Amino acid sequence: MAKFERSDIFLVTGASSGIGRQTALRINELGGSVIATARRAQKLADLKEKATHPDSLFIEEKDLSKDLDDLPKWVLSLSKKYGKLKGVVMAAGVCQIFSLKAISIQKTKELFDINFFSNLALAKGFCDKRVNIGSGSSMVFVSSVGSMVGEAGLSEYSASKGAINSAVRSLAMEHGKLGIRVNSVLPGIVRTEMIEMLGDIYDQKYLDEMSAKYPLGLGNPQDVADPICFLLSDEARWITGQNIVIDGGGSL
Amino acid sequence: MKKSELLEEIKDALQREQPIDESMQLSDSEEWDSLSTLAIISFYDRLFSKTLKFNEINKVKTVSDLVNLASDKLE
Repeated sequence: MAKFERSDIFLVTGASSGIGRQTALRINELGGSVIATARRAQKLADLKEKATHPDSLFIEEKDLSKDLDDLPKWVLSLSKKYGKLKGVVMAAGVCQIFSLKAISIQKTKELFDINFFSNLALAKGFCDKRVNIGSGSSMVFVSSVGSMVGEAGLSEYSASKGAINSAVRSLAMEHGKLGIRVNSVLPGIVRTEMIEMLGDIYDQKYLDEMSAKYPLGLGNPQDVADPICFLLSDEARWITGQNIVIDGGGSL
Repeated sequence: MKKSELLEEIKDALQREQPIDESMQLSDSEEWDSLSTLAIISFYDRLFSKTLKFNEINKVKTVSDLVNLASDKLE
């Protein structure tokens, strides 16, 4: 099982809900320090209350959809404030479900800003030698199994996640010599707030049908947070450039 | 842009912890590698709309040489 020291500092985006929230809590439970970031301050305060070691879970309110070119400097400022980072988990993301007829290019660009470009900017910030610890550093992007399996209405979302999968391989090649590993996880359907918000489409009937198709049933955030912690840990020291499907067998 | 701001941008491109000054020898610096060279080319293009050529970059020995490449854009 992955274990961390208090001096192992991780930045987790999208930490107010779902996979990001559970990952922040799990890293903290395993002994690591977490800089948890999201837009909603109250949700972050709730997260800190739930933490096993609240004194090593730090909250930073941030809207990652704005001023993307300034994000690398923001990451640098975090490392100056808290210390050099061992890892970053990029779990912030949004989902839009539209048929091609209903797609707006402007809205699609906004989705890409959050799901892909902000993550790329955060990765740029993390790879700065002044920010990461060097050998033993790890980046984990949260992609989606939707980037591999076709689903009506998900063309924008799946493309934004597919962009992550491609970038991961090149980033791994570019930064391996600096001791930085780069991977992504591709969760299947996980019962999160995002799924609840799309309840008109992902209603109970749909979830029951999908649950029947998944050999291991639908996932919970913890099912993804544990593999993320493994990828952040030194136990995954020889794994880089991989897109790892975590979906209870749903895509088989 | 002020010269001090340009020096800060160069420091960021080099990802250098310590302050820099114009006399700093880049050719002796471990931060002066191919990736930092690309970062310099990228931010000169972004901030000054200036396309640096590789032979210009190859002649650079000091931070002062880099500053001189943007001298017409400084306040």
